Order: sequence, then structure tokens, then C-alpha cells
Amino acid sequence: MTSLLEPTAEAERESVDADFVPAGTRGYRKVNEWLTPAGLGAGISRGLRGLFGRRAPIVDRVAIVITALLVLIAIVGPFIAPYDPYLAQPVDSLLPPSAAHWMGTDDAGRDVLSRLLTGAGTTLLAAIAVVVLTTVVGVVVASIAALAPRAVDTVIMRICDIAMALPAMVLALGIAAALGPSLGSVVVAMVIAMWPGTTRLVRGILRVTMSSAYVESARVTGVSRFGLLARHVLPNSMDSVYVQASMEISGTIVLMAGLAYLGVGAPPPSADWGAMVAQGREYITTAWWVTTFPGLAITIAAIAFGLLGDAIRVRLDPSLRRR
Amino acid sequence: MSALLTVDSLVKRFGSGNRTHTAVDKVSFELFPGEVLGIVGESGSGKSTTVRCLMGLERPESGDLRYDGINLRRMTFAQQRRFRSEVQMVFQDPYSSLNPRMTIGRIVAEPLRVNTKLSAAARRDRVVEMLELVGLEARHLARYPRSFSGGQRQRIAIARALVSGPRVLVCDEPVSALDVSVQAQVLNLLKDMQEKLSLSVLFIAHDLAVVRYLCDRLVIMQNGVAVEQGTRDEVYDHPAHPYTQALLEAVPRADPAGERMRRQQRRALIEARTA
Repeated sequence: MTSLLEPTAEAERESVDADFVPAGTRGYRKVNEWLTPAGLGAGISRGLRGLFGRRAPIVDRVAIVITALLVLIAIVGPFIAPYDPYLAQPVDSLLPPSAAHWMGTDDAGRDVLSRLLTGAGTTLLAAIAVVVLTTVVGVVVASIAALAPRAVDTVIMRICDIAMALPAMVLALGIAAALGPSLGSVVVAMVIAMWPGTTRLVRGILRVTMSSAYVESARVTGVSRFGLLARHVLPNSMDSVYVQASMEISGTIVLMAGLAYLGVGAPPPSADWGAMVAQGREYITTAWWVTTFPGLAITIAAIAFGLLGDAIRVRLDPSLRRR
Repeated sequence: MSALLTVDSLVKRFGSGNRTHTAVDKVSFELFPGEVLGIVGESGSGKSTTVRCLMGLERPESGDLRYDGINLRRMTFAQQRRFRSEVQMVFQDPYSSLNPRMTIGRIVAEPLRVNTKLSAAARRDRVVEMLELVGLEARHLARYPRSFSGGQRQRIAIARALVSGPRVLVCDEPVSALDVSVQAQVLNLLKDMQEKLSLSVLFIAHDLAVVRYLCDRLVIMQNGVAVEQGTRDEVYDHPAHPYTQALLEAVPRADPAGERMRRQQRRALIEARTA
């Protein structure tokens, strides 16, 4: 600890903010208080802490195992798929599940299991990308609302109200259709449809934090509005924001599957789960497996991420934290 | 001697329409350099709200607030800087008034960072000096508020308030969230600091025993109105307002026999009244 008392040349060179942080964690702590990937990681790791422990509830453990499996499938899926997911073999069309094709084949004779494994990556990655992007947009806009004069805050919130009056699904459908058929356009459309809700929530979170005594005491000390937000409000609000984001993933998975089902999403040959459900629609009475397995995959993914979000909430939500 | 802080017919209302509640109703008082002014009253008497208006945490409906010639409701940027660096505050609850994500060193250094141009090294020296002054040690710098007790946290809050050398310290019931044994320590610390740094202190309390120990002058508040003002001895020896008398009656005496006698008298009085 003596190093804290005798500032070295190195300490002098460090930025103004770097004083008085635990020895050895200087850089780490500094970023943790601000919105960097490391800060994000610290919050998430705290959220996940204890999920693997012996005392974790069964539901939480099931959720973490299934989500871990889904992520694993998303990564290695394309490599372990038994067949080429895009190779049409009309001879083998609509084969029921068998030893050769565990989940049967679709109308073009493509192996459903292989398509499911291949599609996991895009389906999950797109949902997570949407949530991350909406959260970033939400935090930025809510911060602007918090910093700006009351009139600007009101305008931003009314814009959010107007945007939220439109159903997210319809809005996203329209925007995605206008942007053209690609996964990127769906992600953009979803972000546009979802940011108002997230912004409202984040603004609420920021306002709660702003009314806490430590923010008031910083204000009384003369910290600027930006300083308050950056040094006091945001670092103490991020836990609630993570909770919010983790709860949104499962809804996003379902919403995106819905969009793909309606034909907006990755263009036809690609193996998106929602698109696979749509594809099998015509054969649902004769070949149930074509729609059932991707539908089941969507359901499982949505439930697993939902439970994971809940588990993270229990660990991070300040209002649920034991005192 | 001219007043350092002036509060003139301050009015603060909460709510709107029919449900308006006047929390502070035309309260006026002055704080002179070097004195300790106590504001006393029960919960909800508007004493905290008065101070919050003074510190710019609430927007008052009307009234004049002045600090050393600065109109607090119409400050230029430079005046605001001056006010913020010269008037500091200690909050009631030390458990919520320290940012849980900041180390003690950073918390105490913050006023220096915002209000002075000291280098990081100079700030560190000043923070260590201040922490030692309030009875903490340099090794505590890198710890977080959660590893301190209530009394220690309040010391940290006091260190933060005093680190940039303010002229006025505003204390909003700084000891009422603390254990009785710790209260005395913190009060002693405040008194020492006030004498050592010749501070002017605005001290809010709901407990006249605490105030008697610290304050030179008193303002007694009830339901948003300042019902009595005067020097400590005036108020304690010749309370004019019935509310002040009731407050003084409620202070227990240190002498058990006397306290017993007093209780009997009070009971007799109540019986006489009801009979």
C-alpha cells in the first residue's frame, strides 16, 4: 500500500481518473466503472456467478446447461451436421425420421437435423445482436435524455411513445421488407422497432439511480451533469440494464422467428429456424417433422434464454438483492 | 457582522392542485461566519427540505437564498462553482451517500478533482491527510464503502465534505442513522473539525440533546414554520413556544432520580388534565 502514498512517475502519467484504485487492478477497475467491454464482462460475470455452484437452483442449472448447449451447437453445428444442409435431393423429399435422417427430410430432400444445426448460429447470433444493439442505442439515447434539458427529454420520450404505439412486429415487418431480404435488414428492423421500449426502460433505471443519495452528494459537491452520469449514474445502473437485456433475448428469438416465418429474414436457401417452420407449413398434415423440430428448437431456445435471464435477474437486480 | 448564508421567507410546496403540501412555509434565518446553527424539529417539520432547497436539490417556490452575496437562485457559472466548492454537505444516511462503485480514495478525492486544479499526487496527499484527520488510515484508500461500518462511513462523508476546504458545512442529521455509541464519536469529530477549521455549520437534528452539545444558535421548526429562534441558552432556559417546551420536555435527563421525578410530575399532570 505504500505505493499509494508515494506516487511514482508512472502513477503521475496515468489519467486523472486513475487514482486510488486497488493495487494490481488499476486498469481493470478503471474500465469497469465505465462502459467498456471489460466493464460489461464484469457485470455479466457477476450475474452468472453461482449459476454453476452446488447451491444453484435446479431450474437455473437446467437453463445454463441448455443455453450452453445451444451456444455450442451454434458454434460447432455446421461442422457436425451429418448432411449438406443446402443440398437438395428431390429423391429423398419428405422422408420421415429414421436412422439415416433423425429428424426426417424436408420437401427438397434436405436433412432437417443438419439444417437445424446449421441454422442455430444465425438464429441465436441475430437475436443476441439485436439485443446488444438495442441496449446500446437505448443506453445512449436515455443518457442523452438524462443530460439534456427537460424539453429534450420530453421530446425523446414522446417519440418513444409514438414508436411504441405501433406493434413491434408490424413495424419490424415493414422496415425489414423495405430494406430487402437479408439477415442484416431484419436485425436493423428489429433494432428500430425495439429501441423505444428499451430507451424508456433504461431512462427509468437511470432516473432511479439519479435520485440516490450518493448521486445527490456528488451533485452538491459540484460534479457536472456529465460527470454525474459517467461516474455515478451509469456504473450503478448497468446491472439493471444487463438484467433488462438478458430478459429480452428470448422475446427477440421468438419475434425474429415470427418474422422469418412471415418470409422476412435470411433469404430462402439459408437455414433459419423460423424460415424452416414456414417452409414446412404446407406439409404439416403429411410431414409433421419438417415444422415440428425447428418449432421445438425455437421453443426450447426461448424458454432457456428466458430462464437464464431470470436467473441473472435474481443475482443482479438491485431491487431483489439481499441487504 | 454580515451573514454568510441567508434564507429569507423560503417557501417550498410539494404536489399540485388540491393535494398541495407546504413543506416549508416562509422560513427565514441567517448563518453567521464561524457559528454553528442548529435547525431542530420532528420528522416532517421541513428542516431537511429547507436545506435541500439551499443546496439546490429542490426547487423552491419562492424566497431568497443568498450565500456571501450570491443569489443562489440566479447564479452565474463562476458563482455556482464558488458556491459548490465553498459549501459542502454531509448526508443523513452514510449507507447510501457513498457511491458503492468507487473506492474511498476516489470518493474523498472527488471534490478536489472537480473544484481544484491539484495534480493527482497532490490530491492523494490531501486525501490521505484528510482521512487521517477524521481517524481513518491511508491503507483504507483502495477499499470500497461496503467494507466500512456506519460510523466509519460517516467519517468518510465528513472527510469528503471537508477535503476541499469549504467555509460552510451543512449537516443533515449526520448522526441519526448511527448507533448511539458511534453518534458521540461523530459529533466530537464534527465539533473538533468546526473548531480546527473555523467552519460555519448548519446542523439539522431532531434531537435537542445532540444540538445542545454543538450549536451556538437554534431554529426550531414545526410543520414547515420556524416557530422559534435564538441562542442556545435562550432557547434551552426560556423556551417561548409551546412546541419548543414540548421538545425540551422530551429530552431524557442523565440523572435517574431526577428523570423519575419528572416522569411522575408529567403523569400527575396528565391525570389532572383527564380527571
